[in-house]
Amino acid sequence: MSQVKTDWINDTEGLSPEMFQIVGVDTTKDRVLRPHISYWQDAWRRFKKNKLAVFGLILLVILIFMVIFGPIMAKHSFEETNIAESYHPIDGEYWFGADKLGRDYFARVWQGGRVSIIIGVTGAFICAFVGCIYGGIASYFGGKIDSFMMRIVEILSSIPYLLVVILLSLWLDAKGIKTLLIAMCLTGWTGIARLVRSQMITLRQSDYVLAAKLLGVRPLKIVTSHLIPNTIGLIIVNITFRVPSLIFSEAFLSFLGLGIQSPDTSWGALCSAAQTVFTFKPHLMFFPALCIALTMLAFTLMGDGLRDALDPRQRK
Amino acid sequence: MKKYVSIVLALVLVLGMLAGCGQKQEEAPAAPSTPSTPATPSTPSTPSEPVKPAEPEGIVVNGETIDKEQYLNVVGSDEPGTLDEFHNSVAATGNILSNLFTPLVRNMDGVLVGDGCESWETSEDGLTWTFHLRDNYWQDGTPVTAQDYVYSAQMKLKPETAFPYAGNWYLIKNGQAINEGKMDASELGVTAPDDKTVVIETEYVVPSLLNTLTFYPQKQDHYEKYGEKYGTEADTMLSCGPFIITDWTHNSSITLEKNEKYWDAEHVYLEKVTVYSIAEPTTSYNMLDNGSVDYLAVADNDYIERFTAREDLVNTRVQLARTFMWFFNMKDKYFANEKIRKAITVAFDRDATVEVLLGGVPIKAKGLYTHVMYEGDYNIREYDGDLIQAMVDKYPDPAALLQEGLNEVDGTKAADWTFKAGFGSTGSKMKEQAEYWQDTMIKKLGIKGVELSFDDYAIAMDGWQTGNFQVACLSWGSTADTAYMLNLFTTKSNAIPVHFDNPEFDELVNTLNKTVDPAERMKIVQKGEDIIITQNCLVCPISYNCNNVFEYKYVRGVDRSPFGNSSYKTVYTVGRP
Amino acid sequence: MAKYIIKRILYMFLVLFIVVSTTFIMIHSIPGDPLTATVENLPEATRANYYARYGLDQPLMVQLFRFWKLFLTEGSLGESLKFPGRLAEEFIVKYAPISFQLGIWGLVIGVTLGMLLGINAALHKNKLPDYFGTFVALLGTCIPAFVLAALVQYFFTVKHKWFPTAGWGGAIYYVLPVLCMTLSPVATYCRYMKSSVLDVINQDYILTAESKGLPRGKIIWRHVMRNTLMPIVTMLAPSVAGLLGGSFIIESMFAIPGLGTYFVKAINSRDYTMVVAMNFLFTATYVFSLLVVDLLYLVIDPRVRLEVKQNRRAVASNVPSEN
Repeated sequence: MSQVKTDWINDTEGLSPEMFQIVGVDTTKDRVLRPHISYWQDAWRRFKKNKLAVFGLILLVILIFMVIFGPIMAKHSFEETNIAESYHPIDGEYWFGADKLGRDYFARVWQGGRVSIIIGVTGAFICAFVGCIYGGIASYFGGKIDSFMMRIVEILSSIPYLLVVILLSLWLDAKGIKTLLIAMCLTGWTGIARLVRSQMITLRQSDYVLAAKLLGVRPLKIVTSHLIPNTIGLIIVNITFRVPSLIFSEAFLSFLGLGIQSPDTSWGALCSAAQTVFTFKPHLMFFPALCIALTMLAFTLMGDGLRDALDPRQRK
Repeated sequence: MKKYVSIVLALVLVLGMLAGCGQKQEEAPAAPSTPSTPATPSTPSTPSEPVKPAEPEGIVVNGETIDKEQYLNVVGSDEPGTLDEFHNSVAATGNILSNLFTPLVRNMDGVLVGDGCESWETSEDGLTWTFHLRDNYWQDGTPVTAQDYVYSAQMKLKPETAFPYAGNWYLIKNGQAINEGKMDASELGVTAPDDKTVVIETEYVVPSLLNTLTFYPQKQDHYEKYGEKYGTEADTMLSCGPFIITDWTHNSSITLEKNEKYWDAEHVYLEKVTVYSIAEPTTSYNMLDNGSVDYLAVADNDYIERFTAREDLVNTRVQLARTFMWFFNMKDKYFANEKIRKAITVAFDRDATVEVLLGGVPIKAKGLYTHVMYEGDYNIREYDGDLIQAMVDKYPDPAALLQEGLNEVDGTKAADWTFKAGFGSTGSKMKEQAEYWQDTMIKKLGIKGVELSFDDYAIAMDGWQTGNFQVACLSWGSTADTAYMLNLFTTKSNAIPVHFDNPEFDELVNTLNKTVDPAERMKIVQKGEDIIITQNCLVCPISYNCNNVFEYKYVRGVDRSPFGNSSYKTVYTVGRP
Repeated sequence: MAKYIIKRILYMFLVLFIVVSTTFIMIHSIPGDPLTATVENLPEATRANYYARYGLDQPLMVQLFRFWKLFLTEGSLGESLKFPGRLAEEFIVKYAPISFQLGIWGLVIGVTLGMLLGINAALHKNKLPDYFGTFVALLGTCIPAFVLAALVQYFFTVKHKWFPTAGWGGAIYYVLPVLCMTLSPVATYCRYMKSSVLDVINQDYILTAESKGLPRGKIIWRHVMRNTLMPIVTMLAPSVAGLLGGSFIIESMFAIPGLGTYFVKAINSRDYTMVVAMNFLFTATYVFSLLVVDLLYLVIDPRVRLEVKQNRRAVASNVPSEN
């Protein structure tokens, strides 16, 4: 180190006054030193670096591809029964075998994925979104507002869900995915709201929140850009668990007439249909459960990647 | 980590199990010493079961030496709501009650045998029945009297008892008037001229009365002593039947033990019966598989295959008086049309439904009445023949028939027509069947679609009774009374809400209720079935339910009555491993 | 502090009242009655007699009033309709402990294992323990409870007759149900724990502790654990409350006489009393456990403790500036 320094001091040969001119200040050049990276850009950059996370993304894309094109690739329609082919084993004709009614299981699995993926993903995100905002607001304001908002959460999560959906199915005549989402998200957000609140009541006394307050940042902005990023890990874990749980519970809700109608199907419905026979025909349970597991895996891997990417403490 | 913990846990508990087994084995040998005493030297009173004097090795029944330890483990489908016969609304209770009490007459394997009574006779007009009681005692040693039978019957119809099945008892004279609060319970057509005689009068002619209703005795002062609490726990019960109840772990198991005071105790071989309340079919199948229960009704194809392959199991199919059917709403614009109803009935694929979907357990329906229904000596099903097949033969092209019907209604093209079918179940098996029927209806009738709706049974039934449906699916059980099924379709009945108003048919049912002669009655029943199925096609029968029972080869004497309420009185085991 | 607790307890009663009343009205407004599902031949008079006996003929609000009156004067929740002669609170007192005993084992083992796996996964991120944790989480979430229960039952009671298939008695009857109940909490708590630990492990105070040369075990136990407990405790509350109600699938598979099977059956058979009573039990324990959780926050996290005190001062001064 010292050697270099001395060299520099002594090395005055070849320097002339002409070399020293005032060129002025180019403000644009200063900025280019390091490209400005926003929080989200940085997150994306780090996400891309995480091989597992990218694998999760690819997995999800493959699943979505199969769900769209799988039913077309199959040799039989997903709804066509053929009692002579009841429980047809897995072969070149029936890639995933056939169910009791002789329907092509390959077509059914991918057809079922359409509803399941939409429900699982949309539902999980709606629940997470509502829950975050609600929990964030409650914890940010604290005091009476918190108390009131949390009592509402208690009431909503104490009323038996089964009763709510049965009554809902009687009141709402409309069927389809929209109704299904309403039924699922009605109380689904309360868990994450409590989770977010629990995390935030410790964070809201942090110095950076105080600083933001002093700078006059609006409460909603503090919640969304300071508090939520600091709880993102939990939120992501919650989403990855909610996706499969929504997929499973969809089957039950569809039965009550809230969701998809026969002969359409879903992964949850396929699993519950296989309930009585899976010890003898394991593939009927295996394929839809595997698909649910793969979806969850995709979200878990992406979630882990996102978590690392979004966590402000890990930002370098 | 998890592995180690579970292994340690498993080890601890295995040790616990071993200890538990040890205790059981100590208890068990003590039991047989008591049983052998009553059954030893007995003169054979029932010819079918000659009991030889006991040899040192044990008791011999029907030429076989029975096991020293006589016990039975069975599965009862559901937890009894209460063992109070007046307040129970759960079918599972019936089986337990028939072991605790002596009905006037017991149906044992299809044969009527006097249990509470020694003999009985019927008057010529078929309306009065007289029963002569035998000497029998309650568990506490007091005699069972005719008044006990009268008390039970009166309680069932008193409005303040609110007995849920009172409707079945309206066939007793004044039963309906008493239940409606218009008459005092003492006016009921069940009376006791003396301590040993019960006289029953019916409102109309019911030749199969003794298979239709079960008359149990109930000891008034004991019942009143416990009041509301009667029947809620094992120790509130007072038995007079072949068994007494010694333990009732709610929602898990019931233990019955032999009643030594029972009049026929010497022919009751079982010392102990354990009835498990298992709601989950898989669990009960596993219990049969590993020998935890001795026999079981199995309804799933795969398990039927597994158990059929077992050499130590015997398979028997017990037919029940229960019909699985679709029924039509006559108030609906389309289903008021007879041709549309018939087209659907004809298009229905019963073979695949029974053989593939229902695992070959039930029997393909041939009409309204099941094979177990008798009018005197006439088997109704054999007498009437296969009405459904006749209809299928008559209309070879259901699609054309449907179009004809639609043209009569509003000229809709079959290809644009859909109908709604409702199901009173949210189980996946029901859904699977419904999806198959949906697809076959579309294929066979060339219609646009079938809209399926599944609801919990009570919600579905509620909707149907208000007329809010087109086609609905249900399974309906019949009593042994032949008039029962016909009564369902009279104008005033809304039990199966087809909304069929036909004075001619009402009159026919009335005539049936006044007729005694079996041949005459058979003709009327045939005509009734003709009106309901062949002429009007109010319902589309699919199948007749059966119990597919697997039992271990060492089990003997299981009572199989199609009308339920079988007792364990005659059961014993030979060569239980 | 005492004032806060008293206030919360008062709120508890309010929430309980609202929830139970709502449930009462909801279950009564579902079509069908206790007789529809079981009695096929049902004349009007019989139904009317039944309604009169159980007071179902009264207007709904009168029934609701009677329910609360009975509860407040006699402490009773009423007579079950499907199990006539038995009071709903008797069921709860008798069977809730069975469900609870079973559930607490499943939860304690599950949560402990899950947390250990989670910590391990976080400390060895992107290594084998991490992948193992992810795998367990996938299994625990994507294998439906009935599949696990059926497999476990078949393997341990039919294939190898090591355990009784179903029933209730000594410790031996606990093993399989508890085994089945463990997997799901292992999955859940493993993932949450991992995420929480990762949140904490990069904090400055951990660095400080490390640079002080504290032993690793001590750091994890003293600093990491304590700071990760918030979400775990938050999630535990409803789980603990749910324990009393039991698990429908596990209890019906293993014929365990707990409360788990009663609730679904009670809704299906329109046993109004039992539905309301079980909801009463759940709500009461749930709301109470949330109160406990909120108090636990104060114990676990010093920042929360500080804040409650500060808040009283802060409310007055902060309001204008926050706008």
